[in-house]
Amino acid sequence: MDITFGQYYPSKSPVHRLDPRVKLIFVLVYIVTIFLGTSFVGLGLCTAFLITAVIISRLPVRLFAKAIKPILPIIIFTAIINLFYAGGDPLFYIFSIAVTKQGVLTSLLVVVRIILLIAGSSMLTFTTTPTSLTDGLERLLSPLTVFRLKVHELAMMMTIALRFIPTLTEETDKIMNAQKARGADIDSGGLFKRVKALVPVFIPLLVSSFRRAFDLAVAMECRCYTGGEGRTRMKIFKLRCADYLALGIMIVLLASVIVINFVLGLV
Amino acid sequence: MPLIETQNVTFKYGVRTPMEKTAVDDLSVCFEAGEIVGIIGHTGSGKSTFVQLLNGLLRPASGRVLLEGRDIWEKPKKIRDVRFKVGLVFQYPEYQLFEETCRRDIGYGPRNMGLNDEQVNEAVERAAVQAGVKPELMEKSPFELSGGEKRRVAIAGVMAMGPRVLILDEPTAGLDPQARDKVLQRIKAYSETTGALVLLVSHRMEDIAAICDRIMVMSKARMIMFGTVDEVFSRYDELKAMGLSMPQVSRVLRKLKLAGYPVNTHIYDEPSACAEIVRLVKQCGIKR
Ligand SMILES: Nc1ncnc2c1ncn2[C@@H]1O[C@H](COP(=O)(O)OP(=O)(O)O)[C@@H](O)[C@H]1O
Ligand SMILES: [Mg+2]
Repeated sequence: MDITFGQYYPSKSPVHRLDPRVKLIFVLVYIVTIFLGTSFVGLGLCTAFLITAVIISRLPVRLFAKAIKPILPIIIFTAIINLFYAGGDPLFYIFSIAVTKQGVLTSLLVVVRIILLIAGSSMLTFTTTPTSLTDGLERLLSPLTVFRLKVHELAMMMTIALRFIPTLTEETDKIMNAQKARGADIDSGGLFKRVKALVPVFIPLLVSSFRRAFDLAVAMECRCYTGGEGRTRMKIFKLRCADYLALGIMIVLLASVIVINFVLGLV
Repeated sequence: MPLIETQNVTFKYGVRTPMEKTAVDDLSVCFEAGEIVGIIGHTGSGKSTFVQLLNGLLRPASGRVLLEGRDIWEKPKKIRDVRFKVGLVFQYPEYQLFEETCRRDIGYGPRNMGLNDEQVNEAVERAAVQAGVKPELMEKSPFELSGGEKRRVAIAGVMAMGPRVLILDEPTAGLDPQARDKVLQRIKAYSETTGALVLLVSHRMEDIAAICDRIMVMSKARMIMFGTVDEVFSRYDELKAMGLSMPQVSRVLRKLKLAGYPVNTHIYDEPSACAEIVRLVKQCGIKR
């Protein structure tokens, strides 16, 4: 199985070393910025920013290509829809459907936006380990505990879930091979037949997941885990110069897009 | 004609990624019907990969696997038929059990072969006896059984297909000594009663010495040695350099020999070693 989206790519670049809280906020603001930036100039700015970030992070470009590939059909589909439904003056005709200048422009904008969106959010997961991501999330959400939200428990659940994705993938492969060795026919037949053929895979997988869950619970209790209350952390997040710099850049980016779009009204 | 044969088989994991890894490298070997061959090697030497190439779960990057003289990948659509003939019991096979009763679980393979109810029943009964699953367990849920019982049900699930080649990947791992002996004895009996070829992957040299006729040694994706139990274990120094060993009793005899006692070191199983030591004591006398 190939799950590039959301996989950490180890490195020691400045982007990797940013505080996960800063990166989380940054991505959130970045997404908002992309939605606000309805002009080419605004999106151009975002693109320039993203490219700079990719260069600083020293991530190979093919990683992003791999992240975008699975949603390529969606991108193409939206592009085509936008191409025909924008209205305006016809440029030329395909099968007697008018393609307008506005159509071309909007579909181009949509494509750029989706790519920026995916590439930007992948950037977060490529440069942040799942554990520090959930740690950061926990710290950011911790004010919500006043509303009786179990932030620590939620974050712990996320950490554990992320931790077990590769384990479960490997286990699925193993069980599938074991059943294939007994003649399971998983790769052929109609939908119903295929789903039925997966029962011998899912039941052992379920059983072993429960076993793992119980084992993990016992192991955690043996180490006196009692939930979030009174729990201290080994890694204490402290904002450094680079973090403040990043937050500064973020504000500048957001502000410039707003100014470009709504004050200057550029296209 | 050998029952199963590999010709220059090579297999790589993660092709065209930075993690590319040759797990089996240019391996050619022949196995005959009726023999029990032990496969030993350091963890990661490619044993599990090699056995998965033999039943068509993995397809070689180059080279051929011949079953009864025919390339198993001649008709890729028919690869399931190969898997019925070359039964593979994975490591910790009890984690593949899924049916409500042991009877139904053992019958999974035969049902996939397309046998009718009567034939399936016959195959299940035969396999239960071959693998040593007690009749009173047959209607129980496989999840209620003990570790050793589960293991034998899982092995019966493969034996039920009546394979001409039975491959077991570390079938005794994690079992207590009694359960271990039972499993080994069942494997040997399967070979004797059906004339099948048995390949036994194991880390326990005692298991290998107890039932195998020949041993194949793998190291770093290659086959390093292939010979009779005596031929392989008598090259103890080379085995040791590879992180392998020989049965404990043989090491005891070796130490005695090095200490200057006139002892036969070409002995690898417990009963013979015992007799040899008794003979030695009688010959040398006991000094107090
Ligand atoms: N599914 C897999 N994906 C990638 N590499 C693997 C996989 N399975 C095994 N390997 C690698 O192939 C080599 C041989 O593994 P394996 O055949 O399992 O050895 P053994 O059974 O002798 O311990 C090891 O280096 C292992 O890391
Ligand atoms: Mg192995």
